[in-house]
Amino acid sequence: MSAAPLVAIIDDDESLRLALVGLVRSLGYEARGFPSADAFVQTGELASYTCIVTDIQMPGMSGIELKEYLAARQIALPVIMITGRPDPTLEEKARASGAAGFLRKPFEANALISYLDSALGTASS
Amino acid sequence: MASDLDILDLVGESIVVRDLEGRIQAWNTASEALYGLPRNAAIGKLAEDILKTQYPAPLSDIQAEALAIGSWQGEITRLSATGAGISLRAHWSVRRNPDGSAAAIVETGRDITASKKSEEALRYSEYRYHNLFKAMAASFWELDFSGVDTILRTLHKSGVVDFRRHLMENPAIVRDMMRATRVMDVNDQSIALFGRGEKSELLGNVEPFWPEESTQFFAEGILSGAARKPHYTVECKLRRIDGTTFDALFTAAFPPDSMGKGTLVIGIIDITERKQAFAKLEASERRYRDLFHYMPIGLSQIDASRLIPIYKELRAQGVTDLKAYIDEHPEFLDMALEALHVEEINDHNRQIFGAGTAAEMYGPITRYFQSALPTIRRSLETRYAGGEFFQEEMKATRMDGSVVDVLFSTARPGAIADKSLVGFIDISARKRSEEALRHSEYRYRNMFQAMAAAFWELDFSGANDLVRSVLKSGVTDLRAYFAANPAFVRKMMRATRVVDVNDQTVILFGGGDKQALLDNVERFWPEESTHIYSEAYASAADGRPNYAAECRFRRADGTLFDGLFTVAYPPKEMGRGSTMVGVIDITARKQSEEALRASERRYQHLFQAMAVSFWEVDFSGVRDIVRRLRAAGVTDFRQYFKDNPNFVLRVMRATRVVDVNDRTVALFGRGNKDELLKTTEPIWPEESWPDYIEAVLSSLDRKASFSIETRLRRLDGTIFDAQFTAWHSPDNKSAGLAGVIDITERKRAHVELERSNQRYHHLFHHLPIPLWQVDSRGVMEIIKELREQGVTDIVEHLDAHPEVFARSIDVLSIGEVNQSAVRLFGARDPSNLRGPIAPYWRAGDNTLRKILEARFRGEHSYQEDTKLTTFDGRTVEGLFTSTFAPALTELGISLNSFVDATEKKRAEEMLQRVQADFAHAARVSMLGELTASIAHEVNQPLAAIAANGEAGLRWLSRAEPDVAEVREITKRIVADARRAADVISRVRAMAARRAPEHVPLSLDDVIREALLFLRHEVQARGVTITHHMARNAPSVRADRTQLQQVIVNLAVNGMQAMVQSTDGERQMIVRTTVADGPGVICSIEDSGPGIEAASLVRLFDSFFTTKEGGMGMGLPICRSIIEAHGGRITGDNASTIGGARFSFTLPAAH
Repeated sequence: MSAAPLVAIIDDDESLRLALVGLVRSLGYEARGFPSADAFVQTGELASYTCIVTDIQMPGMSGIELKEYLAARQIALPVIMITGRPDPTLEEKARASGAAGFLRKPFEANALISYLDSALGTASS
Repeated sequence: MASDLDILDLVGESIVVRDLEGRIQAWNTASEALYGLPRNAAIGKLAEDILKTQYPAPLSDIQAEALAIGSWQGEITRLSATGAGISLRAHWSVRRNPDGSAAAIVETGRDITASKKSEEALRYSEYRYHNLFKAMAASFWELDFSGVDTILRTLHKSGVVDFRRHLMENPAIVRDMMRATRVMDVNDQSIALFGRGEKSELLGNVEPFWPEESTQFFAEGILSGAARKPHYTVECKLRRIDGTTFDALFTAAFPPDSMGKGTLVIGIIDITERKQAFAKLEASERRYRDLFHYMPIGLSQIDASRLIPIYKELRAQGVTDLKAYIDEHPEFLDMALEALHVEEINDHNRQIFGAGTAAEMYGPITRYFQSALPTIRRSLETRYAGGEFFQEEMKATRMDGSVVDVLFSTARPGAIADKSLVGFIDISARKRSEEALRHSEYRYRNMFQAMAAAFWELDFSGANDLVRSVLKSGVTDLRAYFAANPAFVRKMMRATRVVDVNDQTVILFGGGDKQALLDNVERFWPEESTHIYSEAYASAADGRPNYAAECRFRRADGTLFDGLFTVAYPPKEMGRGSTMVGVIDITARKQSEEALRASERRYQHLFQAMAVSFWEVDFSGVRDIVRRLRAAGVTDFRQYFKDNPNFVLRVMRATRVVDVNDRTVALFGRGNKDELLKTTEPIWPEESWPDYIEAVLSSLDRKASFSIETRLRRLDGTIFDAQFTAWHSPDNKSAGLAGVIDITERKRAHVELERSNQRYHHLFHHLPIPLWQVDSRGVMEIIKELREQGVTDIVEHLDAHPEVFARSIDVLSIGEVNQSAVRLFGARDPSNLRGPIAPYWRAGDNTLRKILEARFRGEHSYQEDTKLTTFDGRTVEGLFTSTFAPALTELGISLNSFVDATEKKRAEEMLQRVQADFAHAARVSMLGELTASIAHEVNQPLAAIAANGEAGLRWLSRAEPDVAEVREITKRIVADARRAADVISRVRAMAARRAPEHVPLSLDDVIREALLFLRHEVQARGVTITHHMARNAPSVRADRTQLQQVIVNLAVNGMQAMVQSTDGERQMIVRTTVADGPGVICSIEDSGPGIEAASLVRLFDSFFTTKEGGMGMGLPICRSIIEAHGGRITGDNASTIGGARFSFTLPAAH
């Protein structure tokens, strides 16, 4: 199973980050957590990831900014965005940036799973 | 020798020459003056027709005796042309013809009318003095001071210069002086006042009568006498034989001639009663003032609020001695006076100042103190030094600019710093009489003239030569020249030759025989009479026909005598240098006059100084009336007065006032003595007629004296209280003396005392604050015991002996209570409350202990907020005051008052509730603003839980469930759930509506919690918050939620402001520091744009906001929360990181 897709989980809230990593792993993928977008970018191993799940509001680079950063570098990683804020304009902004999915906390696990499935191009087993 | 007639005219005595038929042949100028008849109207007339002489024997016998032995002499009386009686000492000598037969009788008449009168007056003066001494309602002592003189002389010799200081420093010497002062005589009053019935007991020295405490007054008296003061009066304690002391008004008069003679008379009046009345009055008034800050006199309330900042400023400058300060800044006094405003006065005050209405007097006090700047200055200095009471006599300026003597007193009630009460007592009447006393003067009387005459024939030619040479040298004013050159005058005397003298001269001037006197005149003129010689000579040079003067001469043996010197310049003698001079010995007259004056003075001095109004009356008219009634059969005059109501008026009108003293003029009159020299009717008001009748009856009963307390009337119609004493001469039935002592003050003191008590009771019962008296004698006993046991630390002692405190409560009981107190305690009537105090102190007996401690420390009152249990079982809260000032302690009571604060407390609670409601509303609104953050804070753990749950399910759904993974996940779920619950509980706390609860807490803890609450908000806005904590910050007493609310509110404000300015880093520093006070300061600084200047002043106004959609309630609520915690909040732009800064201070919890 060494070929299992690698998913990056970016959230400054540790408990949620751990929860998401756990969830993704329970789906059979590999997952790695980062406390910020900047920390993720600094790994320099973006190519090894298949998908990104990120919070929008974080210290430093936001989720949307991360998407714009990747786009600027022609890196077409699918980015699924999550927010805890009720701001109604956020979804539009997220979609406009090219997000592969948009979720509001708290969210249904299935909604995330289906976004992941479509992003990773795999049908539910 | 000059002609017969000239010589007759030189004599000051009347000379009448008559022939044997009685026809007048010669009549000199002295006769013209004496009888008021010119010479030409007398010459040739029969002497007995015009002279109406009363001889001591039939005229024929006298004439026969004169003719037989050549002379006769005796006292006769005649009538002058004006009908006045003349007493003469007549000397008849027979002039004979050359053949020895009798030709005429020469009568030399010496007018002794004045002398007679003088002797009579002397006798009368002595009698009056004696009578007053005996009968006056005062104690008189005749003392021999010669021993004191000796001591004074010894001191002087030993080099003592400052006697006052020496005596004050050495009371033992004063006691010696007392022992050296012998008592010569005392009157009956003295025996009554000092002794035990035996006069002899008093006739030692005066030392036993002067208690130690009065030693200085005796010394002052001695010093006054030595300083030639006319009299000395003092109020002091004196001691009776039995050792008891009493208050006395002591007067010593020092007539000018008394010094050196060693004896003088002192008078003593017992003023114990007056003193006691005043002392009681004072106590009563103090009690009154303690309670109500009121004085029973001219009263002004002064608004001193403008003075307070002035004093504060001075104190801030470090001024401690206001006196020195005013010395340097005299203008300060004007400023201070202008700062003091009369704002209320009573009617008495209005009258004293002659204002039409009270309002006329309102405003700065400056104008009333124009004549009393030193007084008001001292008053201000006293006030500055913390004194609460000041009193001084001063001259107040009235509305019309006139001044009035007042006793000025001012009190600043401790509780009301910005009000002063000023009292004025009008003492002008007293001052006026004191003035009159000072101006009392002696009345000198002219006496008789003429005694035997000495004739001198003098040759002035030598003197004339001297004067001529002086005139030639250019001198024009002889008098001035003589005055400037007495030696020259003496030279003139030596040049004045005695040509001849008569036998009388030899007798008068001595020297054995006539030849011894025929020299020059210089030796007969002592230095002191040089000016008389000068004047006589100058007068002749002026062309005056004669000159006469009283003058001292020297006899051949060197002794001096008083002479009446007469010089005439008969026209035909002028230029011949020979002049006749007559000298009459007036030594006896002088001495008689002197004796009279001395007696008068002794009498005058004493009674002027005694402040006794003295009346000399002539009863002869009354005696006539009485005699006629007796003749008509009236025997019971008491009954007669009753039956004839108008008889008393007749008696009064028949009583003539002969003389009164200055004191009488001051007391009764209007400055003019003559107004009083009529009858006694005006001074007796009808209400006092019964007293007058008693006085008259006592006189008719031949009682020596009579004394009564009555009311008399002044000429201006006002009536006053008086002690009236009358006494009657045992030998002269028609002469009467009366003494009047003004006892108004004593009476007034009694009346005022009564009034003060009434006023006290009236106010006590009707004041709208609860008042009750507590009988505190038992507690005073306990305190006394404790002191006797040597207790000094009362707190410690009561801690160790709780039973003492318990006993002190048991002995306290409530006495009088007022209506307000009855209402406060919920009683039905005052009697419900009388009795032990303990039931009312169930809630606050610590207050009683504090009172006991205060009493023990000698304080005068105690005040504190406390709780009382009422008669009907309620608990009331309020300000309790117990006053146990000395005036009250004397009465064995304390006065207690209570200002009910239950209502106030209720209002305060209501206010607190409303504030809490507002704070709550503000929190809710704030939570609304923070909804997004809160939602995020809750969603975060919820999302984690959901994800974890889903993952867990999947691990469990595997063919081989991974239990280890599921355990980890479940742990995380529990933690997340707790985290969500925490957020919810924080929000719930913020949203809760409950009464604030003040507990000690750490301000930094509260800040930490608040920042936790804001964690997401801070993060979301990209703000960095730093929290700097003070070291050793004290805890504060506060409501946790409200304090969090304030911090959150301030932090959110700052963050919002920083978000508005998009550029730059968003920083915030929350800092705590330790404040003086002690307390803690919390400041919240941001790096935002700061507060606009225009907004700075309105920051904390309600509904003021710069935020869109803001309510403008955040900061006002912050302020009300901080202030409710006893702190302050401010906002400015002093942030260390460039933006706004909000700071609040909270006092430390104890």
